[in-house]
Amino acid sequence: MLSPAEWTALVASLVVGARAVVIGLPLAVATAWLLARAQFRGRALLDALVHAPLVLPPVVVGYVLLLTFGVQGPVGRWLDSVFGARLVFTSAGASLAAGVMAFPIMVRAVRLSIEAIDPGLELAARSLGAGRLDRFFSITLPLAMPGVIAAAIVGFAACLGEFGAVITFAANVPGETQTLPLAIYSALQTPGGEAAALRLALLSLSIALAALLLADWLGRRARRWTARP
Amino acid sequence: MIDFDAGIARGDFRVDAAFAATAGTTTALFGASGAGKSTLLGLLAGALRPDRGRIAIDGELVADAASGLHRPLEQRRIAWVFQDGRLFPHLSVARNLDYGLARRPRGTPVRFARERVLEVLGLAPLLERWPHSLSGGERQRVAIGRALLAQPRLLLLDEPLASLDAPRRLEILGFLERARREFPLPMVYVTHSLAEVLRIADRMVLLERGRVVGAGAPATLTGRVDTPLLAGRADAGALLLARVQAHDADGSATRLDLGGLTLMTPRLDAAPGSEVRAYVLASEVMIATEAPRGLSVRNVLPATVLKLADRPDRTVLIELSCAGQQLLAAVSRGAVAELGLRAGSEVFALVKTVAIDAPAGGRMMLEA
Repeated sequence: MLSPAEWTALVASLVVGARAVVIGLPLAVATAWLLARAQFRGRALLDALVHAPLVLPPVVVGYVLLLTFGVQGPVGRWLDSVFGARLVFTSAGASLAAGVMAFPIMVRAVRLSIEAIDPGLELAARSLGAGRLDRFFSITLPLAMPGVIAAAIVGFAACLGEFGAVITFAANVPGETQTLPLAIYSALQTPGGEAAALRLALLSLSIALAALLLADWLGRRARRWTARP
Repeated sequence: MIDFDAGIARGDFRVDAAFAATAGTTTALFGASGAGKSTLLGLLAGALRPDRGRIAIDGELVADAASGLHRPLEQRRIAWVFQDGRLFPHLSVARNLDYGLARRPRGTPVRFARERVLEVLGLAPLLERWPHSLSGGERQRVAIGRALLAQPRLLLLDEPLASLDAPRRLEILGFLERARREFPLPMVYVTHSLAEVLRIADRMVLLERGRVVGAGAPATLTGRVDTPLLAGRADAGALLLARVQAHDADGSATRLDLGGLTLMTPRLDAAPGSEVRAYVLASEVMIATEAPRGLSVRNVLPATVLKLADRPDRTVLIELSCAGQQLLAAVSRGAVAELGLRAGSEVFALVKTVAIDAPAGGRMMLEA
């Protein structure tokens, strides 16, 4: 049904999305916890930075990443000299771009579920001798699990769909950074590629729908698990 | 042993108090809402930082405004039982109970063994259950057990009965009394319910507008016309520590011995010799200047008027001494004038009914 090139795009998409979520989710959980529970200077700034990709044009995000992580960028040069690693035009770079774009969505889902937890439970845990990290892992994280699961799935779906930031930062390299939307774009640029574009679009649609349904189902299961009267 | 002498400003309101609580005793912090009870609790537990004074637990300073010392709540080993239980919804009852036990500081001996706590609080049948399937009373029992198993140096009970209905309150009070007998640690019990104080407290600290306005044993603070917070209440009265003397042959009444004074009550389900707390409401005591005849009231006690105090509701509260015990009577102003009552008058106190607290049978007025 799919051509080898289309399979390659699908696999590249899944790899890019999975890597972005595996690395981005723990960061999103930590950020969500900071924003929901911690009091510190610069909280408003962190909040704004996290949400910036939602309101910036994706191409701007990609360009900022290029300036920072590009071969001439400060972080990019450091990564190159210390690890010999380059992000630009690589699958890892596509993950970075997609992950940054999906980050606010993931943070938001986790933060809402942390904010829904009764702070009194954390106070009770304190009185029973649980320190901050202990409380986070024994009380906050398990109770926020519905949100964390939702964040993972919706974040993954968002990574698969990211176009502007990925193409700006990681370019359109088949088998590396050419994810489904980039493949659709390329197909549309190719004479007679409409059928391939339609197939890829339907594929994107079914992955997105499956992800949303899965998130909903898991969320309901998790809520039953942590049910409160 | 708790030594508390600290204060904190909360906006334009100051809470400042000093009190001590010893092992095996229950100290009630009593006052209306807004009197500063929760703030005191926050200071004691470490959720708030005092701007004056110091707090010590078992001789160890946990807060000192002068030096800035402030041990966080999780290091104070104060177990806190909340009004709403606050069981962890994602953990079974067994794992809720073990939460604090597993987190006690290394080397802390288990003074309150799991088996004993399960037995005293009747928790064994609940172990496999989940918090959302428990009734309100069961939830509070688990919360008390979880707190005790953390091997705390102090048990804080923050209005633990406030969200329960009257029968459940009696039930939980019974469990708390058993726990107090079995597990010797100081308990601080915060409440605005006089009935709960009368039933469980060994000492009470009266709080009003952030200040301590009285402290002492309930039996000393009640039965007086000048105790703030208490004398003005519609349910003012005298708490008497009594012993069951005997039951009447026909089984209709019980005699209580109050050290030289005998009170008759409707039959109590308590063995002769057992100790009970009796609360005599001022509104249930009448005064006669001559020994009455032909009355259904069976408790007619010779007494001396000690003090009289006008109350805002146009009654006069009269402090009586009878056979060494204090009693209160609430009488209308007209009656006081008509009978010519004043300090020193020799009268008879007619006690209609007595609220009794006994382990089985008898109940304190526990509805309010």
